[in-house]
Amino acid sequence: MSDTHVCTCNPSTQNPYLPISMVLQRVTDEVDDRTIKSFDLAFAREEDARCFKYTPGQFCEVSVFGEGEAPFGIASSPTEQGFVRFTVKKAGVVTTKLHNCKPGDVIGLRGPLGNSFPLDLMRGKDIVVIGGGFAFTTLRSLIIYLLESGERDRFGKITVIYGARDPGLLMYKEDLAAWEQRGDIEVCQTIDRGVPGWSRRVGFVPNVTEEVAPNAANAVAVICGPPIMIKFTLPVMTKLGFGKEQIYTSLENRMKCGIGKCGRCNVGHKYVCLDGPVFSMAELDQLPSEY
Amino acid sequence: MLSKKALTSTLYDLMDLYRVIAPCQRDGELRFDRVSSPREIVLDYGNTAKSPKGVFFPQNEAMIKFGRQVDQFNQIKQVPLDRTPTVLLGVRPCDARSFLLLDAVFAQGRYLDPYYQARRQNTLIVTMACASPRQTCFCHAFGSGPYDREGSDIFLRDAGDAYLVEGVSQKGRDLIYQGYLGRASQAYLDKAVEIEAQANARLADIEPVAGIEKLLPGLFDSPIWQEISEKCIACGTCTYACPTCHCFNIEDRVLANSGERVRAWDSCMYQFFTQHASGHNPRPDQAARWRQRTMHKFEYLPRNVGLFGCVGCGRCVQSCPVRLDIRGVLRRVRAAAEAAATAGANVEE
Repeated sequence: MSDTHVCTCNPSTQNPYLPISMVLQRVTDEVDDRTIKSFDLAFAREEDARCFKYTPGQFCEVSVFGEGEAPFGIASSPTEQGFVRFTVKKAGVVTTKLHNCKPGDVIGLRGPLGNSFPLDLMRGKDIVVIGGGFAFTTLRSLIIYLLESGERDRFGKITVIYGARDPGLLMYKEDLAAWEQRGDIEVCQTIDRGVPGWSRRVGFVPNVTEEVAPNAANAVAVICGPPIMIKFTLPVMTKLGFGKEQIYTSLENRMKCGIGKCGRCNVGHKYVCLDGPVFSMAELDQLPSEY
Repeated sequence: MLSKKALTSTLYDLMDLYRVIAPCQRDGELRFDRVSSPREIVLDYGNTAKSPKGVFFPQNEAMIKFGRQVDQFNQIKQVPLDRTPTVLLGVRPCDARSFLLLDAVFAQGRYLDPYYQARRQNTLIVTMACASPRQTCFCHAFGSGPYDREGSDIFLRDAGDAYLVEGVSQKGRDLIYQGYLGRASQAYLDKAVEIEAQANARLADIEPVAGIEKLLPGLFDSPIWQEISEKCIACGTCTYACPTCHCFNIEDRVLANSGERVRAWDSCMYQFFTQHASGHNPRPDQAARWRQRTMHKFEYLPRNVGLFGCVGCGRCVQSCPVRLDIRGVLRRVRAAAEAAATAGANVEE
């Protein structure tokens, strides 16, 4: 086998820096201001599709050749076959180039990398998912997985609280609409200030969380969002009875290698790429707040 | 034993079989480089300005190549691994030990680095004992010393007009048995011991580093980082000169009709090392960066891989343009920890 056909499904025995080729299948605008798009990548080779196994919460290094690589959480669920989705905000060099890519373009992919949401711990428990703004990508992966993996009955009540500044900034509108139609998941969408035509909740995520008041007994919560949202939501969770070991979040830091070597994403002695990105609040309590 | 007169012919033999990399004069500076003639090699030197880490982990290295046209993008190619049999000759014991730390980062753990491993596995480390440690040397603070064999395959000691040759690893012993070495007489052994004693006598008194990893966790919010970093100009020279610093960047380089993904040394001393695309920076100032440099070397690495990220070579001390001395940083860490402990004890009373 030549070097061009190395499968990265088991990066620990292969070259972990070598991406596989993906074909950009579909680009979807997620928000009104068009700064956030979803990119559905299809596998260029059958065997890569077979080898690529991931769980919700993991991330990949996505590359636009000639521009570079950047890490993104996987927004699709392993239950969605044939593509891997990344939802990306236009911010830097790689993301700007990615936003200019068209279906058919070839994109590089390394991964899946990092740990995932604690599915084993979640089984048999109520699940509370709290998200704000753009930080809903791996939460989408998690929710779809909980609903579609064929083991919905192994999880208790699922409550989703998702907030954004205004309706146009809520992502995954089709998914949200579909979840609202189901009886086995409670979806609370909220916006910061009311606008005409909006019939759902109005208010900041911490306040809405207090109103919804998910039961802390036998529950696991996952919170992802802007730091300010997390900061004000945590005291609410404590008030509701959630312990720090019951609350999980996903960290982001600048990364290059994604495999614990290049030395920049660490928080104390832990690497976000290797030990994370998912950490419990109890774990973060033991680390300096350098993120 | 190998007489110094016979060194040149031995090196010619070695160069038939191996790529030999040794300290050579290049552009007015002593540098580890590929040897084309044994006459280029300099073995009686303090130390090189740059460490030999680049032999395994080059400052710039293309990792993959790709076609630039869209329809060529499936042709992602790994740059062939460098497995050239190599002898790395004349490293100092501090640098030989630095490879153990690099091994822990690149060749151990969940992910292995094939580029590093290929070079490392095909290289023999021939260390030259350090007969004249410099004022900036502090290898002995790590329980090591100028005659430490750790990390070496073959160890050479100066014995006047000859070198005593010692196989340290099996790989090293195998190489020695292929050669024609004379047995050293007692006079040479005595001479080597005498030179070693002189080398050890040059070392200044220094407090052992061991134990500092236990003091550092309590000092994350200490004001010492601000004080230490005040004169730092964020040039990054310390990290480039360092044999154990291994942080890197990965960037794409576009060529005429193709491109390559390049890994290059990077430095925690730089603002953009950790700055997010949003502008947020978890290490927003030089104080946070100095804390990271110190914590990484003296707390996180000991905790994660059981080794300090420092071997006491003193290069950063020598090359720092503002004379920021890592030994002074460690003294301040100890003083701050002591002060905190005393304050704590007073509160308890």
